[in-house]
Amino acid sequence: MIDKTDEDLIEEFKNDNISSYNQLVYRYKDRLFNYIYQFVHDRDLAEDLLQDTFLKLYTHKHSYKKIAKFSTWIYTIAGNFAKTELRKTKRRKTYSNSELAFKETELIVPDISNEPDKEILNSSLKADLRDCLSELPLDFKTIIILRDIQELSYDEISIIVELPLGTVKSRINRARLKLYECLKIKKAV
Amino acid sequence: MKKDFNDMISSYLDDDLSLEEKKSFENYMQNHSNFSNKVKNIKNIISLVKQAPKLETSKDFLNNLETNIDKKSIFNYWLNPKLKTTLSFGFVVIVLFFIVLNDYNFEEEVADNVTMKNFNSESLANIETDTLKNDNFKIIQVKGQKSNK
Repeated sequence: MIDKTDEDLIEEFKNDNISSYNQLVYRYKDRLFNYIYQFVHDRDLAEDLLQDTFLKLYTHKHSYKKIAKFSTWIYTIAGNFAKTELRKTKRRKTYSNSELAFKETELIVPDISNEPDKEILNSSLKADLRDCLSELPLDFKTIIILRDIQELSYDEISIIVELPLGTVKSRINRARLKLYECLKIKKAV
Repeated sequence: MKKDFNDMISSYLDDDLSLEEKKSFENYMQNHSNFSNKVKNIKNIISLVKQAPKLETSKDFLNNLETNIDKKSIFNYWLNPKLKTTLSFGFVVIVLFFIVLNDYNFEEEVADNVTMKNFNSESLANIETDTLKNDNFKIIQVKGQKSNK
């Protein structure tokens, strides 16, 4: 049996088919959770924002227009929630964002290699990479998350961040160069 | 010239260059080892970023979502435009009903007052007539007494 596309499911949900809504939630919950988490670096907060995202999908299903891909629409909603929260947190907090990101992401570093030396090297590099990623300006960070972590296409990113394709490509390049320069300063590369 | 190749690194790594561009980029890398190392490092960084741990939502996530949707549904039910219109219409009807009822009571009250006033004046008139009659009777009586004397 061929799986229904996201666009089919949202159209069915618009006709009050709740099981289509459940399928969309199931398809996107972990992807969006990872996306939001990269901004807020707090599991509980990321889950709350994801709840808000799916609630918005539930209550504003008719705002979705067939011309857009469902994925770009839902990523835009989730990204907006995450960025709004990030701005609020930045205004509230007394300690630096990079400290917060480092402390909390430290808890979830998995073992990705069986070779001990490589593992140490990798985790040290990963820690530096996390620091550099959290130090990136929000625009660059968003685009790196969408491209390299969420692995979305340039076209999809262009719709989500509402920028022309050419700007997206050059911004991805600049973001990666910034990461490289940051790691070079830390002598990680 | 080097600046141009710097701008092409991501497109090269994402395989987004034309054949011609790709060829010239690779030629440039062959002739500039520093630049070639830079490209390799950026490639490694990208693959490391891609290895970011994949998180999963908690087991309660879907249950919590269901609860939140139920709450939202109740809230939305009360904010439902159709319901809001019906409630507003109902409210207006009730208010109008009370206004009309109040007017009706007022009119009845006025009518009652008028009747009472009429009644009072009529009774007063009757009492005055009776009193006059009685006074006349008394006068006649007094006159009779006088004549008897």
